[in-house]
Amino acid sequence: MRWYIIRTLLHKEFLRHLANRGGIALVLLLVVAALLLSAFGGGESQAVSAVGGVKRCYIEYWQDDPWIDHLQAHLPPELEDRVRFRMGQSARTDGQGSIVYEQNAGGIQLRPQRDGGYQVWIWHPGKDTSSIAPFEAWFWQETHKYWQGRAAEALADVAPAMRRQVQTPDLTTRRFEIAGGLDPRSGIATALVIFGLFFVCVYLLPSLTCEERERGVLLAQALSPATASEILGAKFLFYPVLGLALAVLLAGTYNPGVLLRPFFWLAMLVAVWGSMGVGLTIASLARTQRAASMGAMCYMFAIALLLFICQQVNIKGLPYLALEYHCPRMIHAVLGDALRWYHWGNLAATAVLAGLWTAVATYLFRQRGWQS
Amino acid sequence: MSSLQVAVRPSVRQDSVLRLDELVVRYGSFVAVDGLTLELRRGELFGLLGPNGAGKTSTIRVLIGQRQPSSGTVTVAGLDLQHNWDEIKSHFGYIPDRENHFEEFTGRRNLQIFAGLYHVPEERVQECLDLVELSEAAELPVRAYSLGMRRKLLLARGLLHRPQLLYLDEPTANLDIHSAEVVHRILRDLTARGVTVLLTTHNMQEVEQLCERVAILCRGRLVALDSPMALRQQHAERKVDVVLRDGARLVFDLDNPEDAIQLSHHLLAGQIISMKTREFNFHETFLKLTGMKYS
Repeated sequence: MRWYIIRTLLHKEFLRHLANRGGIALVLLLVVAALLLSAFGGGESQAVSAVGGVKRCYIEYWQDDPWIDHLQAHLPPELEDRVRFRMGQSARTDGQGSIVYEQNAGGIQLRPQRDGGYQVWIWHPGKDTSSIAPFEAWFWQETHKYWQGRAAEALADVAPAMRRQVQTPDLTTRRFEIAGGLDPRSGIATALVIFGLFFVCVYLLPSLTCEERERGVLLAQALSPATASEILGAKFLFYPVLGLALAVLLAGTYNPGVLLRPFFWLAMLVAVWGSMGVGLTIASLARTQRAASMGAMCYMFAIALLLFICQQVNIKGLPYLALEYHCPRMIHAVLGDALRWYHWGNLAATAVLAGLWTAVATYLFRQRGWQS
Repeated sequence: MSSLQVAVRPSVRQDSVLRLDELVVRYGSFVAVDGLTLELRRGELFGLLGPNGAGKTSTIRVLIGQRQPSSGTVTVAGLDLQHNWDEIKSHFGYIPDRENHFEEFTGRRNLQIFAGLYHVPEERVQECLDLVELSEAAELPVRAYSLGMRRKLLLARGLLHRPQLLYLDEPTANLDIHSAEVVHRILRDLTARGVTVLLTTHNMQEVEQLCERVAILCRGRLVALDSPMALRQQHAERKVDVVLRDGARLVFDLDNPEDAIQLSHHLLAGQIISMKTREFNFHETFLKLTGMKYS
């Protein structure tokens, strides 16, 4: 390997990417997305709402009642911002008189009946009754406490001994976070990192290499003193570094703490290595730039479909053969602070798959790499 | 003997730069090059001609290391092509028939990249740009170049490392008369300085003007190998086409005494209104030798 050749080839790759404004724009877009993800939506409420739950719940009543006062006085802190009390008469209605709710909102209507009782109507968006479950749980618990309290008070004068029996004991709740559980932000950040990595190594590498081959520039380089090893070496230096830099930038923007974790760097290295193997295999098989772009896109769609089908019909084993099964798991784990021992297994599997892809890619590129 | 069965065997010379010995290139059962033996001397401008499918491209592909010979050997500057490829690469320059530049870069940047790969100094880039008269357009992106400018840039790139051997595939295709003249001048200067040039072209006039020797290939075989002058002497026809006053059209063979006497009678009688000698025509000779047209 001669440094002056490697330096020239790296410089050439750098200049080519600098001239590719579309690529630069997409990279900037990814960085902006990571910044937005980092700066906004860090609260618990957004995390819950983003998984499809009701964002706001209206408690609607048609007459003042101590029951309503009790409910208002016993709102837990995590629901305080998300529960609104309002008179049913003041709510906006449609042509048929039904109350209209905004998107991602639900309602619990307390409708007084002529016999002095109530009907409780629960309104939830879509068919998923569980979407309003956190509000229902609070509502029924406090309602139960309120009415039992009323019963206990009534019994205080006539049967004091029974009062304690009907009184609801204090039920306190403690909550614990399962690390990395339903937090959608680390999931989105993982998607950004994986996309950045694949964009550089599985899309840009084959696309630009095949463009060079299609134009005959790759042949011109091969006829210069640059050897096959040097041309491949420069690509294996430039694209992993670019992919790694982009992925680290995106991950670090979302959660700077990950940069201090060795597992993060190991995960990134094997993910980049595997992506390079896939990218170079596509670059070797495709003869034209268009074929390379199509190949990269088809690869990503095919793998996504394969993983989806395996998940849906519960096929075991097959997903383990895909880099795209292991990479998101380990990156998500490290970004969401939920690293477990089995993620080392994902790391090892990724390294093995990356080695296989690289061996296939190197063989193919040496066989048919220079010209169309 | 048919023109395809001409047996040509050049002699081995001491100042040989490129030597092809019984070169055979097969694609499955199809034989693209069939036992080609050639030798190019130092400072020679050599033309490799032939109709489409004659084996020129296959030969060039072997010479630039993009195809292994099925059998036979190729030697460049005394080095076997198959065993010394990395060393040979710096000896030759290749100007393909299809331009292959980085379109998004300027002409100068294109040359700078290859200058970096060949490890030649930056000043050489400007020299080559001057040589092909592209200095004024050097800062324009190649995508803005005309076809002629692109071909001249190819030539400049091929000359960056001062190769001893130059392979040119249709170097003046799409060039205007002035640019073609520039290329011709450069090629003459190169050969005067000892560079060996192997040229493939369909431009017969260019071959006559430039080449010291030409090899004509047909169906993978060598059917003629000589200087254009020798071919002229071998294939020129000493005939005269005559139109008489009564409209009759006659052909007289000057090598036939009876025809010569008859022609002089017509001349003396003042019966001839038009008379034209048949000049040597390289194109016709090429067609005849390659079996594409028989006399």
